[in-house]
Formats: sequence, C-alpha cells, structure tokens
Amino acid sequence: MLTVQDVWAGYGPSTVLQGVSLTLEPGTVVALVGANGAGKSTVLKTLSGLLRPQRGRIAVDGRELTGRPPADWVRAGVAHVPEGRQVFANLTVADNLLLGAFSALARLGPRQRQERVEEVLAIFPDLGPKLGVLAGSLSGGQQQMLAIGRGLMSQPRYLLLDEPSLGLAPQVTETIFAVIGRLRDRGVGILLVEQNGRLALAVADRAHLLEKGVITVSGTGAELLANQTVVERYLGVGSPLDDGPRPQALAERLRRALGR
Amino acid sequence: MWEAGNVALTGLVTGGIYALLAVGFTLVFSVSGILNLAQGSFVTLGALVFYSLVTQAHWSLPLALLGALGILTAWAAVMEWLVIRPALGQISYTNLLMLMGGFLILYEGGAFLLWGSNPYTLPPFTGAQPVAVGGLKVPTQAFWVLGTVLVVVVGLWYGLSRTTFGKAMRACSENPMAAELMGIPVPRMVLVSFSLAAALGVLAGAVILPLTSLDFGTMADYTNQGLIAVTVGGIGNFFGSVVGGVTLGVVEQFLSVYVSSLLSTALSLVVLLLILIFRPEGILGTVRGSRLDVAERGIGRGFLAPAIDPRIGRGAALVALVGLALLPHWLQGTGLLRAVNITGIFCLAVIGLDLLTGIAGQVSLGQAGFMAIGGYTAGILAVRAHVAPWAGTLAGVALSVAVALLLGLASVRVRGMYLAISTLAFGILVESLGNGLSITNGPAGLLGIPNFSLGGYVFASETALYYLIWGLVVVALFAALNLIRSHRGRALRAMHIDQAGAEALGVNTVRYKIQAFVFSAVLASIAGSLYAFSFQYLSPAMVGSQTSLDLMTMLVVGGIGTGVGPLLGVVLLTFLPQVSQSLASFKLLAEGLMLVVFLRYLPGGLWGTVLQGVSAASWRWWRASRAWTDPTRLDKEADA
Ligand SMILES: Nc1ncnc2c1ncn2[C@@H]1O[C@H](COP(=O)(O)OP(=O)(O)OP(=O)(O)O)[C@@H](O)[C@H]1O
Ligand SMILES: [Mg+2]
Repeated sequence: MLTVQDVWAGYGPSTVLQGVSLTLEPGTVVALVGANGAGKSTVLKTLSGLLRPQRGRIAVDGRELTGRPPADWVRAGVAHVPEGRQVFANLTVADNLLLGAFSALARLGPRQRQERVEEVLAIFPDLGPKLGVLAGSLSGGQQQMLAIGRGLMSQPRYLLLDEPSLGLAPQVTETIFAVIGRLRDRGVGILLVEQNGRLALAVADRAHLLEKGVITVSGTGAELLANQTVVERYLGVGSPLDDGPRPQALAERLRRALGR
Repeated sequence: MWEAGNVALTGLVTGGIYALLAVGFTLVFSVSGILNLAQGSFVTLGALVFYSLVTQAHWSLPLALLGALGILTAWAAVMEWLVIRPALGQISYTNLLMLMGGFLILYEGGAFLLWGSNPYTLPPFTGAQPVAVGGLKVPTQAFWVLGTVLVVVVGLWYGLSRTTFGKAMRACSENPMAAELMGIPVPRMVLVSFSLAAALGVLAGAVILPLTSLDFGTMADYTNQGLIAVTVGGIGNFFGSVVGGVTLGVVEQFLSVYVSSLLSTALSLVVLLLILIFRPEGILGTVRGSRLDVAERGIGRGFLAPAIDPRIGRGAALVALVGLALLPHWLQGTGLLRAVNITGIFCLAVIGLDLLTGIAGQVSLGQAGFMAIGGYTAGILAVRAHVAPWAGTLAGVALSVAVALLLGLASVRVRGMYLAISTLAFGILVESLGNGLSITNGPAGLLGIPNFSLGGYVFASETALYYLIWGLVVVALFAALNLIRSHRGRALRAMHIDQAGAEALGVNTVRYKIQAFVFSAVLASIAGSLYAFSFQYLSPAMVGSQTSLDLMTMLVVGGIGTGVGPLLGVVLLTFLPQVSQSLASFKLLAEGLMLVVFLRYLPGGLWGTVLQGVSAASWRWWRASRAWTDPTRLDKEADA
C-alpha cells in the first residue's frame, strides 16, 4: 500500500500542496481530479521522488521513502508516467523501453530484458513494428503508449498516470483505459490524474477532488460523479462541452471495456 | 606534394586534439546543458601534471599518465560535486556560463603559481627519429596522438551508443526529468561526464606535449579551439564534434602554411561567426530539443538588489562627487593617480558591460574587443595620419558602433550560450588581427601614440587625465543609471528574465538588445582610446581575450546588474594589482577564485551583499521606494 500522510509540498518558497493525505491499495484505481493548477501533477511528483515534500510522510508498503531520490522509488515499485509523454525523442523505441527498466537492468539478463519488452508489446502491439525507429518520430498516441510502456518496464506495483488520455483520439483513449483495467486486475495500484474527469471517475474505485492543494471531497468514483459540489465546481453543470452525448457514450464503452 | 602531405599530417594531429576537446565539450553539454569553458584547462593541466610526474617524480610514462588521469578526473569530480551541482538550478544560465569561465581563470592562475610561466615539453614517447612513410617524415609521436584519438573516439562511440550506461547518459541529456523517473541517477551522470571530459583533456595533453610546448596561457587557447570545433560540428553531436575538430585542425594548418597564420585564425573565426548566426546547430547537427535555444529559464532570476532611497542615494552621490573632485589633491605626491586613472578607464568599459550583461542579460565574453577597436583606431590614426586624438576617438566609436550593430543583429538570431560563443569569437578575432596585421605593429604593440588633446589643450599630466577620465565615468554612470531606471531599463530586465514573455508583452526586444550592445560598445571603445592615449602605447594583449574575462570578473565581483557596484569590482581588480606587484602574481588565481565564489555564493557581488546587509538592518528605507528592482512592478504596469 502506498500511503500519503499530510503532505505539504511546493516549488521554492511557494507551497502548492497543503496537507494532502491519501492511500493507494494494490489492485485499485484511484482518481485524482481537479482544476488546472490545483496541484494534481505536484502530488504525483512527490510520490515519485521528483519533488521533496516540505512536510509529511510517504510510505510504500510500509517503507518510508520521503525525501529519497527517484531511483529509490522506482526500485520500491512506483512508476510515474509524467504529463506530456516525455519520451526520449532521439533514442529508439526499444532503447526507451529498455531505459524504463534501468533500475533493474543490472539484475536482468538479455533474456529477461527481452521478456519484459515482449510483455509491453503484448499490451501495446502498435509499438511492435516501431521498435527500431526514433521515439520522436512516433505519433502523439504512439508516444503516449510508449510512455506508459516505458513506465511498465520496471514492473511497478504502483503506477502513477498523469493525464494519459490528453490529446488522444477516443479509440486510443479506450485502449489505454482497457490497459488500466487489465493492470488493476493484475494487482497494480493505479493513481490516475485525468483532464477528462468524468472518464476517470467512471473507472475509479476511489476518487479525490483536489482544490488549491487541498483534498476537499473523497469517495468512490460513483459518489463523486453524483456529488453536487464536484459537478458544480469541477465537472460543470450544463457545460455543452462536458455533457455532449459522445463522452457519455465513450464512458459507457469504457466501463464495459473495464468489465463493470 | 610530400610537403602538402606533411602539412596535412600536422593538421590531422592538431585536429585530433581538437576533436578530443570538442568531444569533451559535447559530453558535458549534452548531459548537463553546461558549456564547460574550463575544458581547455584540462589539456594543459593534464600535460603539466604528466610532465611533473615524469621528470620530478620519475614515474614511468604509463604510470604518470594514470597518475595524471587519476588526479585530474578526481579533481573535476570534486569541483562538480562541490560547486557546480549545487549551483545548477540555483543560478541563472548566464551566471553558470561565467562560473565556468571563472574555473578557466582559476586553473590558469593555479598553473601559473605551480609551474610558473615557462613552457614545458617532453621528448617523444618512443624513438626520436621520424619514421619515413613514402616521402613523408612522420614523427613517432604523431602515431601516439592519432592512435589515442582513434581509440578514444571509437571507445566513446561504442560506450555511448551501445551500452546501457551510454544510453542512460543520452537520456539525461534529452530529458533529465524523465531520466530521473526511470531511476537514472542524473546528478551522478553529470559528475561522470565532467570526469570523463577531464580525462579526455588529460589524454590529449599528455600525448601532444612532446610535439609542442605548453604553459598556463595555452588553456584559454585550447578552450577557444575546442569551442570553435564543437560549434562547427554541432554542440551535443558526437560525430559532429569529431569531424569539426579534425576539419578545424587540417584547414587551419593549410591556411597558416599556404596563406598566413594570421588569416588562418581570423578566417576560422569568421567562419565560426557565420555558422553561429546562420546554422547554430552546426554543419552536421540536426535540430535537437529545447537545449538549442538556451533562454534564461525562470531559475535564479538573477540578483535583485534592494534600491536605495533616492534621498540617501542623492546625498551619497554628492559626497562621492566632492570626494572624486578632491581626490587628486589628496593623492598628490603618492604616485597613485596613474592607477586611479587606469581604474577609471576600466570603469567606463564595465559600466557598459553591466548594462549589456547585468541588465539585458546578454553575456559578452569579448567586450575588450571593442576596447581594442577604439584603442587601435584612435592610436593608428594619430600615429600614422596625425589625426587629432578626439577625432580618432570618435572614429573608433563609429567603427565600434558599426560592429556592435552587427553583433547586436547576430544576437537577435543567436541567444544565450551561442551569443556568448559569438562574442568570445569576436574578441579573439580582434585580438588576432591586432597580433597579425602590420598596421598595428603586431604583438610588439603600437608605439608613439601622443597624449590626448582637445583643441589646444594637451592632457599631459595625470591630473588632467584624471579629470577627463573620471568626468566621463560620472557622465556614463549617470546615463546608465537613468537608462536602468527608465521604462527601457525595465524592458531590458523583462527581456533578461524571459525573452519570449517580454516579446508577448509587446517589448521590442530586437531594438533594446541592439541598443544595449551599442551603448556598451561605445563606452568600451572610448575606454580603449583613452587607454591607448594614457599609456601612449597599445598592444593586443592589453585589450585581448584575457581582458574581456577580467572585465567580466570585475562585473561579477562588484555586483552584476547593480549599476554602481561593478565599479567596486574594478577598483579591487585593477587598482590593487597596479599598486602592489606581489599581489599581481596572484591576480589570476584570485580572480578565478572570486568569480567562482561570488557567482556561487554571493550573486549580488560586493555591492549587492553590502546593500543587502544595510537593507536588512533598515528595511523600512527601501520598502518605501522599491523603484526599479521590484519584480512585480512590471506586472503592475502591464495591468495599468
Ligand atoms: N516547476 C514548477 N515551478 C514552480 N511552480 C510550479 C511548477 N510546476 C507547477 N507549479 C505551480 O504549482 C501549481 C500546481 O501545479 P500542477 O502542475 O500540480 O497543477 P495540475 O493540477 O497538474 O494542473 P494541470 O491540470 O494544468 O496539469 C500551479 O500553480 C503551478 O503554477
Ligand atoms: Mg498536471
């Protein structure tokens, strides 16, 4: 279990997170929703060691990792797929994947490395034919798949996904959500930050609304979807963009893809 | 025919060394984004340590090489760990670049103290007799050099492209954040890159030592050549660096044998400038990620000095003016007035540099080039055409303005690091012209320059010169402070912090940048002319690239971007060494040390630190009048 206790964090002198607490159990999906600038990405950064919290404790499976460098977090089984893909554009797809397992490489023989790559390819078959090309030449959706695949190479028990569906076509979003479902079923705990709050809430076991660095509403995904505050403040009642028939239908299909 | 072969061979050997240098630059740059201006130091330091281990400790060659490698890679690692790593993300990119320049000066000064100014060399590693290959006479050492270069290049290529470690290193250079998330220890990789680059330098220095002779002054030359090579090939591009190095060596050699050695340096610099302006990614480079355009990031927005209450400022200025007016009287008979005058001359140049670098954020590593233009134009016109000194000074100013316009235009295309390299190249170009042209009388210097005169009045006495020089300093300082406080000054600051942002706010960055260049060039040019007239003599070394670095150090030590502060730096670094000869031998070392320490720990310089102390004691003063240093003021004005 990944436990976050009263974490305060920020950049330089400024404080963004003001006492965030949450837990992520293996085999569950936890959604974190909130407006732009609420601090969602900042939460993930503190959970992967990129950002040292000013206060508070974070423990992975009972081991406290607060303030340790990212390498320790990867080794403890946490993988963070950052916002905006961030693939190594001038390295090949295969090398990108390989580096995803960097923390374990010393232990892995060529055989096991191959196996891990194949596992990722089984999840994202689209990457198969592209192994030898430079990551920068992939399409946006393929890069997102690569980013997630690269994160999976370390065989994490906790996966932190920051806006995995941003800018992707509905079909690709669907693929990615299907993958999320499968990983969850395999016992991976997933912390999901999504622009598209409705989608995230639809698939989440638990969900939190983050406002200005504070968690204001928590509950199951369904509870948040029905919550008056969340709908008013965040999902926006009657917003023509959010309430179109297509997202609804997509959410429905996604729920089915996830097997609910 | 065979002669051409020999020239090519010499070129290849030099080119191999340049290639190692260029690869060193590329390694550090691509992993950390730092342009390691101290890279050339490690060639010379490597050679000198190697020399001492061989001749004084009587170690065998291989053991001495290992010893030199061990000592200097460890040294580079410690410096990275102790100084550079903590500075990363803390100080602005401009300052980081100057910090690396500080290391260069520091190493020069250290080598000067340890090894003196004598050049050193060693006999060839094996057999003194050249080997005949066809009609070619190949010195045996050439095989050592070429072999080393080949082994190192192939080894590094394999290491970087085939091993996981190398791939991880490249990942750091592409996206440090993502690399961290993969569990790659990015700081350790940066450390490794610095050590590896140092090792490349040591290898180059050790194998080239028997073919040349090295002293502390060669460090800057190697840095310069390496920079040219790596820029030609494309910074961050491994093969580009190798090809750039070899090409530079061969072309330089052919030009210097068949045309003239002056032209060879000058031409390679002109080519470099053209490449920088029109193809900053290098001839072989492909456009790569965001590193190419190193703009000031939000980090360490430079130092914001608390402003002084205008009333106190005016009072202090009045006292200072009276003091200045009386100074010659007080100093009568001490013989110090001459040092005071030279200090004033440098103050002029530094005031301009502060506006350019401190306020507008355009690093110039070649500011003495404008001093040279001003000094030589006025000097040559006076000596050879008997043009009146004031007219010659104005002619120098005109020429400097023309060149500054060109450089300013280049700065529109070229930013951050590339601009710094351009200005560095400009400074060396001017210096090499001063050394090579007959009209300047070469390194011996231009003799017989008359005293400055205006109308019928000849400024022959130091006192007369004093009032001329310091009068100009006061006027220039007044103009600079006004400029800083005006709307234009705020625009320049905004540009410094975020060029794109400033543009979006409607700041005409092109015009302001060029104006800053021109202003600084005019002051440097006048300073150069006065320098020549007051010494009645001018040599290229007086206004060479070392002087450019001196100017930068004065700026940083005094307090970059603080207007008045840099003058303190000038006093410290010009006046003291002038007065005391024993201090002069420590000058380089002290200069480098100060540059490093101030950039790293006291970015406000002497002035800023004092001001901070004062303002901490009485913050009420400046709270009331935060004038131009208040960063939020920009926003407020944008809102209005
Ligand atoms: N590197 C940084 N340096 C300084 N401030 C930052 C940095 N990154 C984020 N912030 C600030 O922290 C706050 C929270 O940012 P964060 O990226 O966590 O928001 P977010 O919830 O992920 O938003 P979005 O939905 O737009 O991705 C914002 O106010 C932002 O300006
Ligand atoms: Mg975010």
